Amino acid sequence: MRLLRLRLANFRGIEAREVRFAPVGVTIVSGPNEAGKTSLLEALDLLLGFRDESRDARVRDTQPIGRDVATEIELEAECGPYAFVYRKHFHRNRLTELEIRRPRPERVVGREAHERVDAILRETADLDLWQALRVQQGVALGRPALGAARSLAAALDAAAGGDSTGTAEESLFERVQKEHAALFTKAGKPRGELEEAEREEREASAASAEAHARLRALEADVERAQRLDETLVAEERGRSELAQRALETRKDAEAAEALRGERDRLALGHEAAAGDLRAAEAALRTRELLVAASEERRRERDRLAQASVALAPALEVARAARASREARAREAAERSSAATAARERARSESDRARARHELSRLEAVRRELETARAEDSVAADLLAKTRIDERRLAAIRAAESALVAAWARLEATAPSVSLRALAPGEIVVDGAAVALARDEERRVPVAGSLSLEVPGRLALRVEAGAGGSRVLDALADAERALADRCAEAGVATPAEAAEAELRRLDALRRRESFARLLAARLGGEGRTPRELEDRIEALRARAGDPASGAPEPEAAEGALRDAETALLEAEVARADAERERDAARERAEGLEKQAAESVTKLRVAESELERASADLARARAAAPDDALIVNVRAAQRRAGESERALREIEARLGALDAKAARDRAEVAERAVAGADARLRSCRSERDALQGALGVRAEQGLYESASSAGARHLHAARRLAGLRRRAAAARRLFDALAEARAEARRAYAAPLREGIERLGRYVFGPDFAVELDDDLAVATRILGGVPVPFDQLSGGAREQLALLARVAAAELVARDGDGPAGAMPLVLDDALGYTDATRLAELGAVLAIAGRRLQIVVLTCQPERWRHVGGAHEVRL
Amino acid sequence: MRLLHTADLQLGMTRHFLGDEAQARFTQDRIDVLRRIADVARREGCELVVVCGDVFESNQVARSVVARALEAFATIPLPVYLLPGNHDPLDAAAIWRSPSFSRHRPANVHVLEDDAPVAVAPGVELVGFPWRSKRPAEDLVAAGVARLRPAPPGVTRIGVGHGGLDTLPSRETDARPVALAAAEAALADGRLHYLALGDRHSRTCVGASGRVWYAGAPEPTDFREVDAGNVLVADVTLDRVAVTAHPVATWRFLERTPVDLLGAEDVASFAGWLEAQTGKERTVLRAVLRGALSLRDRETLARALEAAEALFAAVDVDESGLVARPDDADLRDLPIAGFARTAVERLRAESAGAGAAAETARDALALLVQLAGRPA
Repeated sequence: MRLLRLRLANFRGIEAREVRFAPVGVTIVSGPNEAGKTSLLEALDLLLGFRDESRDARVRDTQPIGRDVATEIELEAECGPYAFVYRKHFHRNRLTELEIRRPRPERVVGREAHERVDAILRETADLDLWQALRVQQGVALGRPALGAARSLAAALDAAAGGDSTGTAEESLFERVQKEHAALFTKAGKPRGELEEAEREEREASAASAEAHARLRALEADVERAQRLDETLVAEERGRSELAQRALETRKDAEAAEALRGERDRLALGHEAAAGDLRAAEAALRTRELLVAASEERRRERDRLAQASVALAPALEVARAARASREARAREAAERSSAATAARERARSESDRARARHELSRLEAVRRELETARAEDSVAADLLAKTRIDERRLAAIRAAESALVAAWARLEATAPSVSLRALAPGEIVVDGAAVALARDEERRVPVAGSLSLEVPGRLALRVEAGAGGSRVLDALADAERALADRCAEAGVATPAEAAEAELRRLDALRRRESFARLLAARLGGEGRTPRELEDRIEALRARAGDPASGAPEPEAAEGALRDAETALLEAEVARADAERERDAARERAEGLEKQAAESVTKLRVAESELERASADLARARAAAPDDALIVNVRAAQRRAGESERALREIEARLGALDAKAARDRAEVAERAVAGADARLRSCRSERDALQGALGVRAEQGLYESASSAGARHLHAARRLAGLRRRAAAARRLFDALAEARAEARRAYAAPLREGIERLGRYVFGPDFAVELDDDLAVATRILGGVPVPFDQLSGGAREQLALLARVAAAELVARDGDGPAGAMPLVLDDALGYTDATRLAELGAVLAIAGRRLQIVVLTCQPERWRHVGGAHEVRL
Repeated sequence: MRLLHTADLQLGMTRHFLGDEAQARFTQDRIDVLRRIADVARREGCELVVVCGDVFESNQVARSVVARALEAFATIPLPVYLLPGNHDPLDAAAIWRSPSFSRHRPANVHVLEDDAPVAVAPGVELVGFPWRSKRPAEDLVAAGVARLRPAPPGVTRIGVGHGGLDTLPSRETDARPVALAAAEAALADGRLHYLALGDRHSRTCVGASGRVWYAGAPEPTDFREVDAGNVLVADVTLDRVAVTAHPVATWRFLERTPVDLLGAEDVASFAGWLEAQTGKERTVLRAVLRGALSLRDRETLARALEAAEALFAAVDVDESGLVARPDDADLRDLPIAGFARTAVERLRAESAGAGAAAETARDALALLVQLAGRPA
């Protein structure tokens, strides 16, 4: 829509006003505050938005106070293909008139005119955008939400290469969103009806499974009951068969038992007969043994008697041999004792010789050590007395040097008196007599004071003054120091100290050499002097009387070796003799013992023979041998008879096997008992099952199972349908949301470019912006520094808002004044926060934009807008 | 001798495709058929009624069903002989031995508990071959007739059996089928004169004798039952059998498969067919839909099916073979542009393919059309 002319009459304080606008470019409407600039805009809103009979407060407010007149608003405008004049009178003489001049001249009045304009506006223009593009005072600081404006969206869509988009799509999107949100949570989880259906399906499934399980359990029990009935019939048949068999086997077992009794009786009889036979046979065997034993005793007695007689000659020979061997052994022992004594004597001599030799050597050592020890004790005494040492000697020497130095200073600094004797004589210097020869010169230093006396003639005193006294004090100190050091060292003079030190060092050396000697003499032997003494004492005892004389050690050793050889030979001879003696003794004693034993054995054998003969005689008196033989034969016959009878009955019993028969009978009876137990448990199980079934069979489980199944099926179908619908809703929502976001992104680019292109006139070449999803400016970037819109200054914000509107309006206008609907950009006292420099730049922006846009600026400070070149100016 | 022969009442039967309300109606109607059977019996002058097994859907049906059934049986002014079948065998949990049954059993109702001939009228004997478990080890009819001697002179003997037949295509049951030859041998040598069978829900005359019949279920239970919904009235004499069928059913299992839907006309014709059905509240409909429809036609179809669902006892429509293919007309008229248009084009491209993603995309488009048409 392009505004061409707006006329007001009786609009609040305005009696009459007409403003013409440039169709393209910038129209600046200026006037002081309260001049009615804003009223122009308001009038336009009222004209387009309200019917002439409206009672709205905004309409009522327009009536001039105290004047009962019509408020008139008349607009001449072009809108798409239309050009028209539209006027309304409010309050009085109400009127709505529309004169359409293009494309077909037409005149419409009243309600119809209002609706027609509405239609034209809806067809060609966009009131949302109209609102968005107007910059109201005070509203300017907010960001216009351009995304909601249909024309803008359409224009941006066109710029992004798509079709136009409008509120219908947004509304559709909202509906899809609602559909989707009814079924899914934000996180994509089912909710509402879908969640309910899922829950119902789960519950119905569980209920159906449970009901079917109960039904199946019942059916299984029915089948079990059936099987139990069949089992019962079979068991009963089996039991009667088993009982029959038990009866038969028991009869067999009883017959076998009777036969066994008879067998046991016969076996007892046979055992008695066999016992009798064994007894008779034993009696006969005993008799035979008695006869044999008696014979054996007699043979033994005879043999022993012969052996005893044969032993006597050998015994005599052995006794003689023993006597001779014993005599020879005694002689050898005596010879051996003599050799032992000789060897002991030789050993003693040899020992004494070695001790004497060692004693003389050790005594020589002791003498040497005694001499050395005397010297050592002299040196030790000296060391004990001496107080000098290296340190003290050094101190004395230092004190001496200090004294010399003091003297030197005295001589150098103190005054001196030179004397020359004119004649030989004696003078006293400081109380000391000094003899002087003729012409002898003497120079006496004056330290402090000097008294000179020529005895009897003259006393002269020279005073050196203070300086001399100090030197003298130093000298006295040095002397005292030297005397102290010497006293500490126990010497009189430094020379004496040096000598004492030399003596001390010599004593030390001597002591060391003694220590070395001691170590060499004693250390070599590994003994202390005390041990040396002990050894000497011991050796002296071993050596015996030195006066008795002794052979040399080597000779004594030789004699000892000879004596030992002789002893060894004597010992061998003695051992041989003793061995022979022992052998002879043993043989003699062995034969003696043998002879004694032989006599003893013979006596025993004779007594045993007597006893055996007596036993036999007694037995034969009781029962002769023949009677025993007859008894055995009778017993043998009886045992044979009883055994035959037993064999016969056992043969009969063996064919019958009584134990097996009894076992069979017992097994058969147990089988019957088992069958009875099975029958009982089977019956009780069947009865229990029957009882339980009776109750459950009446519960109508089929009905509950099948209705639960049907409910589950319905729930599952409902869920499947809902899931399908939910999937569709989700897919549709996703597709729309995705396409919408893409479109938004596509719109964003040209709008941002437009804002940035215009903004660079104002903010410089590094100006950039970021837009949010609603296409509002979110961030301004200058020199790479991003600042959120809300943190910008008021001036910057209103400038950005204006730029956004201009850029949007430019996009809208790109296709000309066509159906897409370019709208005039109205700026009402905008940019109140903006400084002069920026105003100039914004003015240039508006001038550039004005080439394609209708821009209306309402201002009370027209000079602020003088930078807008070529603007059409209107003064109110 | 004139008897009313029926079977497979399947009282207490539930059908998963029925909603709660339709199921209640179905259950009640299966009981109410007994009253119509009573009418037929009275009208046709029958002397007795035999029910050849599967009186109850299960031994575990709700006891209210038993009570109501027995009350309905009481309205039949004739002796009624019930045979335990494979659904309600004479097992440990049998209805026949339950307190609910014995307490409510009317005097005219008898259970054929064994295969001993029962004299039910002068010169008439019934021989039942009851099931004692769900899986009998033998062919009960063959075993039963093997034990029979020929009927005494002048006595008409009617066999009452249950189960599949060895000459007919077998169902999934693992029980031994009835050997037709054994039955026909018994008919030939006068051990039996008529064999009334149950189990097969389709009314069927078996074999060449004309004396072996399946009555079929009096109320249908499923699709693909042939001539269900009748009871038989059989005139049995020693040398002749005449059988007539009498409809008693109120329910219908209606199947239309496949239905090809390729455009608005097909949809309209199918919707019209649905509309034209009578007795919808007792009709179970099954249809397999095939073809491809525009979103708009798909919407029309959905509305027609929605209406049918409200009216029919059950509507089981398999739409998996039906593709909703958005066409230009669907989408061109949508008052949308810009990003929404972009999204639509993408979904459309996605929907052209096959598979779950394409299907979801088609659903998404359908939803879009639906939402766009809805006022904001």
